[in-house]
Amino acid sequence: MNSIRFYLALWISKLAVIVINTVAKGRGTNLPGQVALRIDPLFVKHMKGVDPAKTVFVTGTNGKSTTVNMLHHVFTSNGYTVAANLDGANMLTGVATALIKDSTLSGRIRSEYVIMETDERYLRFIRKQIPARQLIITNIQKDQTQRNGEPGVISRKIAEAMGPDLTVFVNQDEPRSYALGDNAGRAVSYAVKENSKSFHKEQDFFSVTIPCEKCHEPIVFHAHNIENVGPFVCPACGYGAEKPADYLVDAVDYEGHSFTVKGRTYPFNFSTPYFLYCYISVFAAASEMGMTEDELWHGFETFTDLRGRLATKHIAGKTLNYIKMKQENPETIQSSLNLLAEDPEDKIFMFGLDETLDYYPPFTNTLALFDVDFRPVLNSGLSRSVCMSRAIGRAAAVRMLYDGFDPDKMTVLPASYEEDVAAVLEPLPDKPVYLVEEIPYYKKPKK
Amino acid sequence: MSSNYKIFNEIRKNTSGHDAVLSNVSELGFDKDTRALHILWMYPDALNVFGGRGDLMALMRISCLMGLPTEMRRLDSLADDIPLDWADIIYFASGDLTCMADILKVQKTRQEDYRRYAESGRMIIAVSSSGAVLADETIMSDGTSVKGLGLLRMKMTEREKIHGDDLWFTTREGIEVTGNQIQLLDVELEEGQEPWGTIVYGRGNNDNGSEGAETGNVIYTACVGPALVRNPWLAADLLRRAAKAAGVSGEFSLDDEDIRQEILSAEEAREFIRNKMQH
Repeated sequence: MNSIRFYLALWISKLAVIVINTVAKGRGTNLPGQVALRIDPLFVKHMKGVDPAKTVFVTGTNGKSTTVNMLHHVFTSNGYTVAANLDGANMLTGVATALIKDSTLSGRIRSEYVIMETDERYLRFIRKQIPARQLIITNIQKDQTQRNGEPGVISRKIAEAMGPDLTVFVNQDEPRSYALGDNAGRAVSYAVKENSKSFHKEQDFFSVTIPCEKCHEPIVFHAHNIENVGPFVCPACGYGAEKPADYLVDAVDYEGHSFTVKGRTYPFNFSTPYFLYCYISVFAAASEMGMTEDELWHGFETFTDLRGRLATKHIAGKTLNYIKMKQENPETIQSSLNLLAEDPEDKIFMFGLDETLDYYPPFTNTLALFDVDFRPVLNSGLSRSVCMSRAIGRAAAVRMLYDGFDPDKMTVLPASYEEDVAAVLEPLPDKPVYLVEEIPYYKKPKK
Repeated sequence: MSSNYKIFNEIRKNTSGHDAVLSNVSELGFDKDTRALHILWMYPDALNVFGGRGDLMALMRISCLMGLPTEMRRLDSLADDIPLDWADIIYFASGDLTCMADILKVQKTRQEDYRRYAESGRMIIAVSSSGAVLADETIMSDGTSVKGLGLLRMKMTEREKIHGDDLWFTTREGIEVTGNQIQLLDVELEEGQEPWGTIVYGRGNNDNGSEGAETGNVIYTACVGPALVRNPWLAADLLRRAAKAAGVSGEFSLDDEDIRQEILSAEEAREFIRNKMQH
């Protein structure tokens, strides 16, 4: 009975893949899996040929997609076959869909390796069906409050999925995820050494840090390689790196596009520190699974991420530097602000937000605004700021007032429609323009 | 704008690191011996979700705008002595549930002092999950429970699923408040415990039309946003109440012109919520 249900689920879902590919190529990253799991709730578990020892899950708040894409590329560019959910469909249905696409009509996976991005909250359900032996945790940060609430909830959910059969790759520079190493049979750490783009935060009375995972006292970062990620210690209980990381990026040359690990230099096709953590987690996982240094070098040399967060656009005779961020994740907002603050010229700063809709109903989510510091932008030179949003543009403007922005140099727009943006920019003097905005919203059509 | 408009940013700019006390007393032109309102910010790093530090910034900024002499101290470590004798407002911003047991362990050692503090009419505010500090008991999803200070007769229970949405309510004092609610704990008020407000939109305590809890000047609310930034009229009211209880005398008013952007922001939020209520 079970096998009949499985084959029925497999064949109907394969048919769904064909239909979706015919009518809307590139879509259908979840639907076939939904169909299969409706018929056989243990469909993923029943797939044949999935070797847990050759399966890697990637979870965490930020960097999952980039890490999965890089790991997939490193393997495939060296001739290995991999089943993966590269499009970010990271719940059980997305994993099921990726496996359906990779399987034969008898439900056997064609690929040797399985690499899957897994949602933090659903990892425990996915791992019940595929007991992957490798898990990369990128970081655990505040994000998607409607789903996750607070970071502690995310940690607890991930911990529930872990056990003695698991090797976990943990970020030694990120206090919350590093602590999760205790829940696995084996923890392999990765880190990035302080480098030319590391920074120290300006401290004032209202500065806060994150609490220690062990004793809840304040964590001290020796430096930040990216926002809230860097070598740290808890002065109260000593929590922090007890030994050098198992895998460490120990020399970064941003201009020369290279970094070194264990004495060997590797190509680095990016200029932002964020990617270094993707590289070193991939390095760690792939090495532990038997990949050679030459294979890693080859994979890194040819890896490029086409979905970058930076773009330029010409509008009202001005060049607009567009920096995409996740507006519920303070770390990506802050990284975006820090990036534009590197430009010492007087600038026009545009900040676009929208209501939040992870689950219905949408809401006027202003929670992350006080987790970030806008003063680096102000102090770097600012001639005008423009807040854009239907529901929380004014709230963003209020936040900037708290950091000392001049109310006479502020404009609030009800949305980021191109014609409205152009009308604001047109009369302004010719200055660099930076737009920091939630990833999907720019260019939405005016109703 | 009033002449006090820039004071908050000026005093903030003059701080470095975690100064012992942030004060607006001299900037407002008061003598240094003037009795100021004392605000104690509890565990800023541990209780630091949902932008909670914004509430503390709001209390100081609105104090400046109102001309209310105010001093603020941080209590950074669980090992630090809690200066209950010094404080007029004790503020527990929203914190991660995982911190609550350790925080409560420390507070419980001062349970009697907290009771006397509350009975004296001085103010304690706890926001969102930090309400566990003031509650009788909080039950976690794994079945464990922690006893609170019991200053508010309420029981909190961790929810299976997080509730996230807007929140709009009117306090018992008649103040209209809009903000966000990220509810990890349902709240059950025990018999005789007054809520803080009545819901216009949102879940509040337990989707039963009530929001928060209030006994004297001890207040719990689920409202984040941060609520005091989004509702400076609420911050002003709380400051006036606390000042009165502390014997800090004066006429402390808030000029609408100084909070013009906040007034427009609240209207923007109410309009958004009204649209949801209609559909």
